[in-house]
Amino acid sequence: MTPLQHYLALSVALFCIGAWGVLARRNIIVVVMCLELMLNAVNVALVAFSNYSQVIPGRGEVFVFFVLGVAAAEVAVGLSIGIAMYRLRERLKVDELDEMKG
Amino acid sequence: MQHDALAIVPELMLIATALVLLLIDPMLPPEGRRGLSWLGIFSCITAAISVWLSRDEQFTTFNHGIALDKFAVFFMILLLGVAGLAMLLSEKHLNLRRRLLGDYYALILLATVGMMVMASAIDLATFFVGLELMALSSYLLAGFFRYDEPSVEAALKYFLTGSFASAFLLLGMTLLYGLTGSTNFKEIGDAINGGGVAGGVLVVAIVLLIGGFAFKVAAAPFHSWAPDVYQGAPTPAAAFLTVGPKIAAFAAIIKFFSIILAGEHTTWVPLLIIISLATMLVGATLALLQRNLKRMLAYSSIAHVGYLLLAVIAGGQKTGSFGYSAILFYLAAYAVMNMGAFGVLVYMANSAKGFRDTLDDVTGIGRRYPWAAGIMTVFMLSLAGIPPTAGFLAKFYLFAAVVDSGYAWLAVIGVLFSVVSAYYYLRVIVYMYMRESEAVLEPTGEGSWDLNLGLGLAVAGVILIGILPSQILGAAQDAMVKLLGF
Repeated sequence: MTPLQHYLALSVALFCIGAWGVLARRNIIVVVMCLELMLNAVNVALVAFSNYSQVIPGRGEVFVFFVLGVAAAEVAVGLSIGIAMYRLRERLKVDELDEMKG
Repeated sequence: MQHDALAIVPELMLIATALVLLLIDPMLPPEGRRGLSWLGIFSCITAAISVWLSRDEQFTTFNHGIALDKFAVFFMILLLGVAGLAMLLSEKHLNLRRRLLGDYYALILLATVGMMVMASAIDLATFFVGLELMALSSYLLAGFFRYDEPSVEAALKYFLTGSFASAFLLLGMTLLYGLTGSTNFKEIGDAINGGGVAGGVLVVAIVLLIGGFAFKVAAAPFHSWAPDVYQGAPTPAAAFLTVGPKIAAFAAIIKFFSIILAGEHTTWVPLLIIISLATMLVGATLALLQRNLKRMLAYSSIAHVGYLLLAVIAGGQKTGSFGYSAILFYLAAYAVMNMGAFGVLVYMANSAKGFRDTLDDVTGIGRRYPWAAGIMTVFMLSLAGIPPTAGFLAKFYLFAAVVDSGYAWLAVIGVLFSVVSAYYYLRVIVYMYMRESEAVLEPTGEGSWDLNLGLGLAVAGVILIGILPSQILGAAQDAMVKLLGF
């Protein structure tokens, strides 16, 4: 059986790729994709923990369903705000969000 | 089991009202939408009454996912009050901007449901769903003026930083689950206190949780989104966003740190000390530089978060101290005074043409808008912490709790920062009464009695809490006793 650590390494790697993408990428669509990658990386960890847990099996898998639902809602909200922004500016770049400062 | 649906009757009422609002809004002519705010307000009032009727209950339901106790009741009534007040402040403002829509009230109600779930959840999954329901509704509220660039920009910034923080919170919660094999707060706490939990991973989980919560309450160094979001959001929505999500987040912080991580306070207390010092420093100093009052109030809310974090330290450091109940009292006082201050800005934006929320725009309004200026003075004095207002007693109890827990030096620093911050609150009063402006803003003659009622309630709240605090203080202490059992 594959040890738990392998799954966790995959999960942490995906999470870090997602976090790097949120911080480094400029296009809002790509940033939203990276946010989803972070949530799904956590799902991998949840399923792995649940599978190896001796206490109450299956709790983590139930948690995953909640996270999936929330992730879908988050994409909907994020993209709708993105559309509102695109209608005003015809651009979708994070570094152009500089109307307010100080 | 038969309690499952009964326990969430208030939440169900709000959700039903939100759906009704979304359904009937498109069928109404524009002038028929004016009454929609009252539908929302009545649902808040009935929900608050039904919470009040179950105030002596104490049970868990939804497979130990939700606990209805005095702690949850305190927060639910506070949050319902905040939501109702926010709707009172909003109607005229939205109407004048031709954005009077039922969606707005539906979003406030849904955000409130999320906050109520956060306050009553005792399971990681339930808590996460409540958190996200609150957060997603808040992002949309910030961007509600979707033809205004600042509003949409605020929504996008709020969404990106908020979702980023949620992912870190979720990772922290996942690690807690992985370490202990349970998602129930109490079981996780018992497993951690029982030992046998990998210490290194636990520290990582604590750091992730603190980082995520710091983002959510806008504590330094994760505060930079807050001024932009509160400045860009529609003013009545900003009133709600500076108060509601913070109250819910502090409810969650209290639960996480007092139930799950109480035994680990040697790890998180030093971290929180650094964060709260940085937060108070940022809040007190950067607010001095602001000419825009919404930005100034945003930095002031950051400063208040700094004081609240001091009380979390006090509660964690000394078991059974009144640190946590001081937070509950402070949040109640903060809610009325901060919403009131934003409410005066809403009032001015409605009644003066070209009002842009800056210090120059309030210059000399003491003569032309005596009521608005007088009310603003009360809120500014309260935010500065001057007796006999709510803000004074809230700060007094909070710093007393910090001293009692053995961190007198932290309390001294906190008081010094609050003296610094008094400067920018009092500056508003000086501008309103002691300076004359050359440019006189033309009055629009638009009054609204729901806004006046909301402001009146906020003033009454500030003064009543300041003069007769014992009811709320007693409720706050009772809530913590019931939550923690001492």
